[in-house]
Amino acid sequence: MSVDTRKTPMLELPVDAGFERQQEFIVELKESVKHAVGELFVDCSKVEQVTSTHVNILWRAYSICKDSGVRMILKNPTESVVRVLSILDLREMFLIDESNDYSKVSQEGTQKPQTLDNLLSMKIKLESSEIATGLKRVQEFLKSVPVTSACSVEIETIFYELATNVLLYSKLTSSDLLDCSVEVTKNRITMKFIDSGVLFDPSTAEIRYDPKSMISNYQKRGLGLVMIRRMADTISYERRDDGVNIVTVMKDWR
Amino acid sequence: MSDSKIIQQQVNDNSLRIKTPGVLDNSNAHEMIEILIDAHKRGFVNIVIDMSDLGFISSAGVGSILGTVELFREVGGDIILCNLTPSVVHVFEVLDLTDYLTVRSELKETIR
Repeated sequence: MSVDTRKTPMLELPVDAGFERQQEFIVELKESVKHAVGELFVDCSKVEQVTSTHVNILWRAYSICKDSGVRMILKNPTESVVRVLSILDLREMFLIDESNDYSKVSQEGTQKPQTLDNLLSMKIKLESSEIATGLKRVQEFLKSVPVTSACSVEIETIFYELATNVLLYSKLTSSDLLDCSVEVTKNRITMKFIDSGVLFDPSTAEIRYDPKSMISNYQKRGLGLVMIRRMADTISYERRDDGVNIVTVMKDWR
Repeated sequence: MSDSKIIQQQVNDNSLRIKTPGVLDNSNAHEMIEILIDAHKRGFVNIVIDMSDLGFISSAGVGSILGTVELFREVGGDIILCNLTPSVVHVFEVLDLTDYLTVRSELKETIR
């Protein structure tokens, strides 16, 4: 099954937060989550008067997205929305995008990266040069985060090796896109890699690593997974029913 | 990548110096392998790889060295890595390679 990884669904947070509209929104959200590849936008630009119901809706939406491995990003929230989330100490939980060109980017499938305060998200064509460009973006992004040099090296390496694995072994073509993100939260860096290639679980794939034997056998390959596994704190893999692979890598950075 | 050119310089009849660019990854690891195999065929015994500019090394980059070092050791020589940057040292440490590869550290820095 071919999955279009370029379009990111966007829903509108209802101004009228009556019961029926709430239910409609949640139904709509659940449907969108099924088709979302990595992320989903909730447009909050029209909600000026924020009530507890709006917060409840956002909370439910966040939980549904999280359970499905989808990042929910609040698009253009009004000051009121941000203020209420801050007061309730929920601000850090939600990813917020205040730029104006997000919908355009998602519809056109451009490879322009989206950088929020704590999130780098990009769609990469499966070509070596694109991965190299992606690596540079990751390196640039990490400069704005107070992680140690060692942690930066590891995140960069994990990014490069996982993206290269998809390039080499997914059986996708250069017209396909790899959806990657690096998200920094208080203590943790979370990376997600989403593609629609063949099933491959980097968290359990067998690796045999013996440097001495590699040297004596002139072995030049097979180090990528070793590096990924040794550098990551946790790696999880999900193969969705629609043929999408989701690899999530976590690393504590404090 | 644009900064991926590998530079070679003959030191003497037995030794060749190689300077890596800023990256050693899929884009140029095959070139490194070709250079090392060619150097072996030309009779060079000792290879000194100057990594002072190397900011990023991928598994392919590490593999290009690991998979060819035995060619030189078999004839009594070696590949000697020098001027490793902290990020490259870190990768080698993660892979437990410091006991298996010959490293001369002129820029001995402890990674933050």
